[in-house]
Amino acid sequence: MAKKLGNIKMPKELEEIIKESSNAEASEKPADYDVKEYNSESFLLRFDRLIDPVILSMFFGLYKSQELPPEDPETKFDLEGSYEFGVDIEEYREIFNNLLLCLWIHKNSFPTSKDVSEFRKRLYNFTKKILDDDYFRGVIIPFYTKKAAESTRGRSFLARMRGSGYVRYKKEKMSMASQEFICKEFAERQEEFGDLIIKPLSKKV
Amino acid sequence: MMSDKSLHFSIINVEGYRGRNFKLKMQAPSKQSVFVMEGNTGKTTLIELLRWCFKYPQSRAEGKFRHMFTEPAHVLDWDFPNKKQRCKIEIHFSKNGHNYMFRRTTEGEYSKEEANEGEIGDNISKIEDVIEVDMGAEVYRGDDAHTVLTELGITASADYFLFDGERAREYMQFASDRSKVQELVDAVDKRVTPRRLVEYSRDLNELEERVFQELGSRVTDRGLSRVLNRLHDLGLEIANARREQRRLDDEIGALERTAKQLEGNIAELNDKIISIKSKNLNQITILNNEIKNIKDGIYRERSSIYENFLKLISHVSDKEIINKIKTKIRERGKLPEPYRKDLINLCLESDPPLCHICGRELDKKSKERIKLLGKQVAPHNVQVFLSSDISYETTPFDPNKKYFEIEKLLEELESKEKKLDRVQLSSEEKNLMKDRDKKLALLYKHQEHLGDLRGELDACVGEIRRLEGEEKELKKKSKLWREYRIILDEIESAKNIIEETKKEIKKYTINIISETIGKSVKSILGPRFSAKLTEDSLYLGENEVFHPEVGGMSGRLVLAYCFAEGMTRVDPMIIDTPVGKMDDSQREQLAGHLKANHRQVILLCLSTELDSFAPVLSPKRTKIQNKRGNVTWLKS
Repeated sequence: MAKKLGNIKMPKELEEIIKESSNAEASEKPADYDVKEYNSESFLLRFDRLIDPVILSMFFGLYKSQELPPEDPETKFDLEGSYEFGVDIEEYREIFNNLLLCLWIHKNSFPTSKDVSEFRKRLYNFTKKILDDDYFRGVIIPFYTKKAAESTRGRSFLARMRGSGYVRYKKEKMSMASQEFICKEFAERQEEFGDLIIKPLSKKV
Repeated sequence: MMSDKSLHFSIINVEGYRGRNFKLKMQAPSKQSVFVMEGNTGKTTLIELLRWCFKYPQSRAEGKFRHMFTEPAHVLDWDFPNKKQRCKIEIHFSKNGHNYMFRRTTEGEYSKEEANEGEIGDNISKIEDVIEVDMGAEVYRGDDAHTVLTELGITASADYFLFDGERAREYMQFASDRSKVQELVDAVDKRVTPRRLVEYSRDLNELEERVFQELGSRVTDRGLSRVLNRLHDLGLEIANARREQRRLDDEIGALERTAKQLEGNIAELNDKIISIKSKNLNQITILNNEIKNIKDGIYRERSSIYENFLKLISHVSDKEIINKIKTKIRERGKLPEPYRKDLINLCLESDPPLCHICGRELDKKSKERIKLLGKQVAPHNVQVFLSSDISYETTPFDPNKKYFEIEKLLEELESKEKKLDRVQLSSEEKNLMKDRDKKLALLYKHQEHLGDLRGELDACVGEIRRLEGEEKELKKKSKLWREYRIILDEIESAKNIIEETKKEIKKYTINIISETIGKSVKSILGPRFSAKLTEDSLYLGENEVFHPEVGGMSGRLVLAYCFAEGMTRVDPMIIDTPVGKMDDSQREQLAGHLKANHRQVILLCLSTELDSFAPVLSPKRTKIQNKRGNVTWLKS
């Protein structure tokens, strides 16, 4: 039986993206909107499912932050948005957990013969945690979507995705909210994660 | 023509003013006079002296002389400074069988020092005017002399029948510069409002004032006196408010007409722009279609990114590494969970402790090792996760490829749009658009101003109502007032009739002047051209298009002549340096027109302006030379 995700806490921007991707009326046009210069229908309506932006921002948050989630399952996040999902995302969750596992090993190093027992103990604890549905819903998703809402240089990933409903038919700067830039940046962060976290581990196996 | 043809100038004699000394003797009536005066011999001074004498009475003449664009300018001869001098101008003319001689004498001292300090330099001690009618049969002095000139219609027309470059420039601006509207409105108003009506209005106001005074003198009661005083004040306030209302009405009317004209011009310009655009329509249509296709392509590509974004997540190129890592970290050679955990428990829980695989008893050390194994036991789901390889289908989705595809489309779009701009915006079209945008900005400004004025008008009407209400209430209360009410009502009614009459006459006169100007322009510039005068606009027209930009300099100069002709009430035209940039044929046409339409034209011109103009007016020409130093000295 498929697992239903339930209510998820998330940044406000993400909640707005979800609302706009479900309702053409909710999409906000730019102040200088001109039908000759912009697309007429919001690109946010092109997502297949409402959960898609959540999955994307969760992965982006992991790629960009390269941080492990807090261990305490009761950790509270200061997030204003929330949405109730009745979908199953096991396919993406599995990928995500594998990436988290790599990150955990990257941060903890492979064990020597002396400390293998302690290593396994901690590894099993971590893995147990990330496989826990409540922890995934209550810590992992809020933690990484929040990371996607944090800006380092210019606008955050989520802020740009939020503004990507209507895009000018012209070349934009990298900081702008066009689909090609958002996607390119996602791919770059993904590649960086592979290069910095996963590939170095291959030398040790 | 509307002008009085009986006026004829015969002699103008200038002595001393600004160092000018000459005498002009005109040809007999119906013959034109041409005077050749070289540069700096007094043409401008003469025209300005005539305006000064005709426009300002003796009591107001000092400081009113204007020369070119300088006002006040000096009238005394600056070649003879710091000595008392007397200057004189005599103008001989006839009208309706009577001969007149107007003379203005000015005495004073010219101070070089004051002039060097930026003052005009004149220290006038006396200005004296006199008019002798029929060789002294009647003599009018001082301001009475001016009254005679006014009665003869000369004063009101001095700005028109005395025509020079400065006036020409001013009238040309009337036809093209909207900031001069008020000056044009004032000039037209002054020209078309009968003097008699103005005087009647003044008389009625005085009569009303006297009635109030009479009323006031009969009142002994203090309270009533206050009521009457208030009524009197209210009458004045209402009259003022009505004047303001009329002014606002006029200004709003003028602005509305201007706005309408601008709207017409903008529509016309838009038509022209569309007409130019239609020439390139085919190319534009093709380009527009191409642009639309590219935009559709960009939209499809961008949409496909969000449609396929999640595929990027599945695109894990490092999955083999991940699987290897998992293989390395999970325990090998063990029983799968939960069997292993059950086996450990069995070994530790049996008494004595026994290995349930080989059956041997466990010593203390072996027991400790098995206990440690228990701590390493992973829950079932963890064991499953660690033992299963990451495996999923990777669907090709290349974000870099998408990025470059979209970038290529955007470049293509930019190039097509530039091409479209080039096709759409020819220089002619650009100019038209620039012009249209300028007019639009002006229109918005006018509309904004109109809004303000309408607000002011509403406030003014409200104030009038309030004042009238107060007046009505006070009148009801005052018994004595009722006795006088009939007289005052009659005065009010007469004043209203005069105002209405003024309006009617104004409308009628403007139409006549407009027709006159139109006909004159046609006769000089040809049948394609015309002109139009309204209360607040003067336009040259070509092919029935009336617009501030119709006609070049020469066309506008002709319009200025015709405007002056249309506005003057007297027939003679005294013209200084007349033809500017006109070509020969236009000069001839203009001269022919002047000759045919005026009993007297007095032309002051340079010898270089004789060709094609002066000979058409008159074959005879008189060369005038200024006699320097012909000043009259006075004993100190």
